[in-house]
Amino acid sequence: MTEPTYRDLDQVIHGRVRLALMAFLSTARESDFLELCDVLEVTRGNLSVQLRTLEEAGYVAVEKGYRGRRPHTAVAITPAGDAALHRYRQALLQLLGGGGA
Amino acid sequence: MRLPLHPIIMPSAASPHAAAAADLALIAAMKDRGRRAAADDGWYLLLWGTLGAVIVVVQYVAEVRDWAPSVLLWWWQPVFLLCALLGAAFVVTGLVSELRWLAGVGAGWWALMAYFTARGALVPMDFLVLAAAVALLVAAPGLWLVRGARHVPVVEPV
Repeated sequence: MTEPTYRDLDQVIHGRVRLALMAFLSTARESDFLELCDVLEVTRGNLSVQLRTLEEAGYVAVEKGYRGRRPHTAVAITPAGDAALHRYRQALLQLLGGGGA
Repeated sequence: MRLPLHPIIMPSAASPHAAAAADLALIAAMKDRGRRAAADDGWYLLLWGTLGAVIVVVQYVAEVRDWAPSVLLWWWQPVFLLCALLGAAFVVTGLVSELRWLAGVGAGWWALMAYFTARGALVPMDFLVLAAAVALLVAAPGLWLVRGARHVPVVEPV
């Protein structure tokens, strides 16, 4: 079996903001759009794009609704997202332990 | 706390190790942030646990001093179901949030479920057992979560 390289990593998670988002949700489990903007220090537009990428991959579930009269977007990590983050982390550890690519 | 997203360390052929280490550090830091966010729930546990324990103690006093109709104790007979549900909730929360010790709290509720099931019919003293359980297995974990959230180490990326 060949050693993993950086190019073998899951490109969906590989983006720095998406990786931070997935890691945050892996322990917080769920959050909302505004909290994620605050935690990740990204603009709403940027977060929307990143969330769409993760949602299309099935790594997060996004639910739009209302809290009172205000729009509210809930974001939660999915089991597939948990598994993907775990694989990504394992691959990184292998990269470090395996002498790099 | 500023998010340790910057500087953006791009993987390069020259430093794959540095990039991997930076990613791992980012994962660790963000997991800590997530745990801290989840710990906000500790306030709810602390509040409801304290309130619940006080309410159950009041019911004990009402029962032994005959302030309340004896049907009160009868209403509490299915308390083992409540213990089972709370146990499941804590175990699932502990597993999914990586706060593994919460699963131990869930096991405590299941032990209490076994106790109440073995008891069969409740007696007034069981109110005190339940009050102690609510304090120990709801309020105390809440307090622990809140305290823990203040001591989460901030891991900066390398």
